[in-house]
Amino acid sequence: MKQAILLSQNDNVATLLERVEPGETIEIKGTGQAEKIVSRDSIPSGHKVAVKDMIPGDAVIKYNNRIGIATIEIFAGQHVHVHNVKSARTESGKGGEQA
Amino acid sequence: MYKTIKGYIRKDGNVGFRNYVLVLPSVICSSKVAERIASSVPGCAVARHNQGCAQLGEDFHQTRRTLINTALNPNVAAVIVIGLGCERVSPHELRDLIAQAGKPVELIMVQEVGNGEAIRLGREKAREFVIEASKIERQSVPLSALTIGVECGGSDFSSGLSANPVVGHVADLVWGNGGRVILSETTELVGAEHLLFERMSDDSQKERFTRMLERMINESRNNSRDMVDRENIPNNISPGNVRGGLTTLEEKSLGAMIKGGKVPIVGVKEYGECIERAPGLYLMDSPGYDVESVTGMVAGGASIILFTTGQGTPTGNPIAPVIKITGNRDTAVKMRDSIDFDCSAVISGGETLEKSGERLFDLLIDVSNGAETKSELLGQDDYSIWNVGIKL
Repeated sequence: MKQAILLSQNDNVATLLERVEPGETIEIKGTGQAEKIVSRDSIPSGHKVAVKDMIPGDAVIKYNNRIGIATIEIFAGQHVHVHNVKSARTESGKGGEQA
Repeated sequence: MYKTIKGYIRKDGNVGFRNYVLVLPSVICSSKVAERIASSVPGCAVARHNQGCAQLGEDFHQTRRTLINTALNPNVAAVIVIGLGCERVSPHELRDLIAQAGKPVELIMVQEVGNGEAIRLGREKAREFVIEASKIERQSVPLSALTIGVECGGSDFSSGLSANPVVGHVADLVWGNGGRVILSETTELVGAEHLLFERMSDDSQKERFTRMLERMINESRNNSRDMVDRENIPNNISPGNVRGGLTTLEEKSLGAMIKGGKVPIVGVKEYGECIERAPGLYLMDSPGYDVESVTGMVAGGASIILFTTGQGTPTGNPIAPVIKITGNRDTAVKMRDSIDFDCSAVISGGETLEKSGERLFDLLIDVSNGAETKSELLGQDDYSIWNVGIKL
């Protein structure tokens, strides 16, 4: 079975170790019990798959930290990348918040 | 566990793990002469660079500081400064400061003797210095003598999952033994600042780090002549990063800062500035541009570099061994002539992070004791000083 790594229990995305096609089952491993989800997209190896549903404005969490913000609704099993996530720090012309 | 390693104890008390005679041009114009001297005498290294004149203010100071501190790195036994004569960085001052630090040093001025004679004199002096340096013996020193720089380049998904956390584990081990770790690449700390602030004990460090971040963000936004770049910078995500699955700067930064392990931050340094003796993690201002970042950390005092890569890169340094680490099995195979350490088993499940970190620590000890790295065998003497102003 194809595998993806979840780096922390709070993460809502996992990193795929192999390419998956729609309908393929992915084993999510890394923390605690292995879960399984079904891929909804064609996703390259090394890219991220959603393990939880997100709505626009939700934080995308990896490494137990926010890596960006969902720009559209994302369902578990979908590819999570530049087409549905934006940085909170590098918005065009704004430069984002200061720490 | 290891108790001691073998290094070269210098007059200032710092310990080197290589023993080079460094040929140091003060300016681009004398760089070729310096290179020809170094290339003809085994045991020499050259810090060939493009700076040294037509620079102003902090840009000038940064070049000057980096050149001086490169010469003072404990991997250097002796120095031959090659000056031109009319440049802004004073070769006489370089010579005097190196001499004050107790290092054998010679100055040769191209405008005083001519190009060919400068090369001839330089080779003669280089042979003499190499013979003297070869008489210095390695001595047993505690592991606290280690100062490592941590770097990542050509990152992909495997970097954040394996190579960077494995290096982070080694950073913890180095610190646990009383050693020092330098983490640079300011652009790759943006988005992970909150986690670094938590590791700083005093407010002046926090202020310096805040200034450093704001400066990098503002400069990258305001200095570009290209309006399209002005919109996108400092979103330092390369096309290769996006193809590899990295989505945002925050994601890249969170994966990158793991290289510093859990080590407490004890200093925040300018580019090429010498770090102090206290064990811990030092943050150094630098671009994410690998060769410039490594050059700055080596000037800061790093005697060995741990360099993680996903897609593979041949980068080395003239005076410091650069240990190349990858978590990408394909890269470990394809670029086996550049890669020293394969930690892809961490991802496939064959090895724990801790176990892999211990194995990398073993390699670090071997390299400290004199084992060659692939970058050294390839002659990768990459050296480039970060330029922060316009040339006049």
